[in-house]
Amino acid sequence: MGYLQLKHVSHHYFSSKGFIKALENTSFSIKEGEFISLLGPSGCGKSTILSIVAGIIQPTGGKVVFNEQLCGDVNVEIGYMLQEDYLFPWKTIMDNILIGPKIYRLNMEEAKEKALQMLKEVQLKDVENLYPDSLSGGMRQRVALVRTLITNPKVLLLDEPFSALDYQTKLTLEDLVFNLLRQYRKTTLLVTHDIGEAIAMSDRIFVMKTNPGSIKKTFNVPIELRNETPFLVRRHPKFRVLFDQIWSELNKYKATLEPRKSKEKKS
Amino acid sequence: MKLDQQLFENYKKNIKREHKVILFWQIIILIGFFSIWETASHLYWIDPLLFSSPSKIMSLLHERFVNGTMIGHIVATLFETVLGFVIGTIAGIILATFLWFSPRLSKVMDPYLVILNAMPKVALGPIIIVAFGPGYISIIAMGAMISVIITTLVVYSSFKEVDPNYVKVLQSFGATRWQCFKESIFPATLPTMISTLKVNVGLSWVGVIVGEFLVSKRGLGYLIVYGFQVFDFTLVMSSLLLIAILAAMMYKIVESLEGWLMKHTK
Repeated sequence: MGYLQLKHVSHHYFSSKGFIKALENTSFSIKEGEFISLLGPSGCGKSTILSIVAGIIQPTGGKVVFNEQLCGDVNVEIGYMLQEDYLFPWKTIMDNILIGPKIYRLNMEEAKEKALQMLKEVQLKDVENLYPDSLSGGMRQRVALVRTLITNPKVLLLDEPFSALDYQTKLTLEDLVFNLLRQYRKTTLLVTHDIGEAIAMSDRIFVMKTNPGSIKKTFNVPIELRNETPFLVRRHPKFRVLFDQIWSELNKYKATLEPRKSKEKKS
Repeated sequence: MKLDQQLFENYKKNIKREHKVILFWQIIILIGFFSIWETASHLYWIDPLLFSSPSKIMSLLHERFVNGTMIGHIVATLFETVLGFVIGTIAGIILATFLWFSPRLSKVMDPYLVILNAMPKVALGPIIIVAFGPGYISIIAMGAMISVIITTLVVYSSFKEVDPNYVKVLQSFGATRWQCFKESIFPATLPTMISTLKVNVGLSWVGVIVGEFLVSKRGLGYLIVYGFQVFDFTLVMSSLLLIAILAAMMYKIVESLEGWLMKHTK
């Protein structure tokens, strides 16, 4: 049985002009400790899935099941990382990290110790009393990672956490996050635009289509690739093969979309 | 290396010189204004009975400070203004907080806030005096009321402008609405709140002086009205001068408070 399951989940966004069906009849099941990537064009409901799993929005249809229990009945401990770090600029790095423990009312002394140790794990030293604006983008995203992991979430949601970083920082952070999550055996959902990143980090990849958003196809990443760090995966011969498969899959939806658009313009 | 340093020294020198030039002209204007006033009054270019003169004002102020008939008025007005300013600002922030907590309440209140904001608050003076009695409470209420609605509107709109992703971060930890407010909305809008302080200082002076015009037996506003009634325009001008100085001082204090708070809250 799955650890985290979506059962026939749909979601509509309403406005006074009408509604958008962001997600239609989406179901999947994730095992404990599995790393899943959601890949697809913008507007395919990737981020909506994360918001639903996080309990920030209620789906208009279907349900989310976590460990055989309905979400909503139980409060699933979620770690959520966004495109940008969203560190609070008026709090020190330490206070930023301790925001989760504070809300959970954990023991602050223990949390502080754990924070220092985790900062060391992400190779940040002597930053706890600084403010976020004195850190680089990559460093800030590392702090955001520590902030997300310190409450020991059962499920980790990553919403394009590397997209705002330069390429070099991105590769370094991918390796770091991969190793850290492997070590803590976290169940993870990663949303990304980047095919390479999806292959490099995941066990399985869900390719999504837009309008309405839904999962079109699932790719299993070969076992040889799963056990390598993201940087080395990119050099593996099988990487290219899978990349091309996903690439052509993604292009299929584009091809079916574009003629329809041009027709609308003419009429 | 030496050349770079030389250029930097020149740059610093230029800036210093510029500062001196500006200060020089500021002092010239000050001295010029008062000496032209004095001369004009002395030579009857303007009616000294109506426009007084700096020397008369100085001697009146000196006399009143020495015999102690001025300080009470200053204290009364300052007390009312500071209290009106503080109450108006805090009440405005609390109202904005209520509006943020209940989006429905804010929609219901919207037209009423627009009306209250558009309303010239000093026109409500007589009603306030009837309600709170002809004393300093009415005057403080005037000073507060003139700034409370605009504070509510400005602070509430800045609450709404906070990046929703900050709240999202907190929600992902299961934070309550109050925790979201305390940890993200309030600190993120602190700079806006502080900048409303500067506006409110000026507004509170307006409310208090108008209030004193209407009822008071004390205060600088009272002195202006009293001076006008007994045709003592030296007294009117002295009070105006004191108000200008005190209001500017209060503004400067709030400004340095702003600088200090900004530094300590980032």
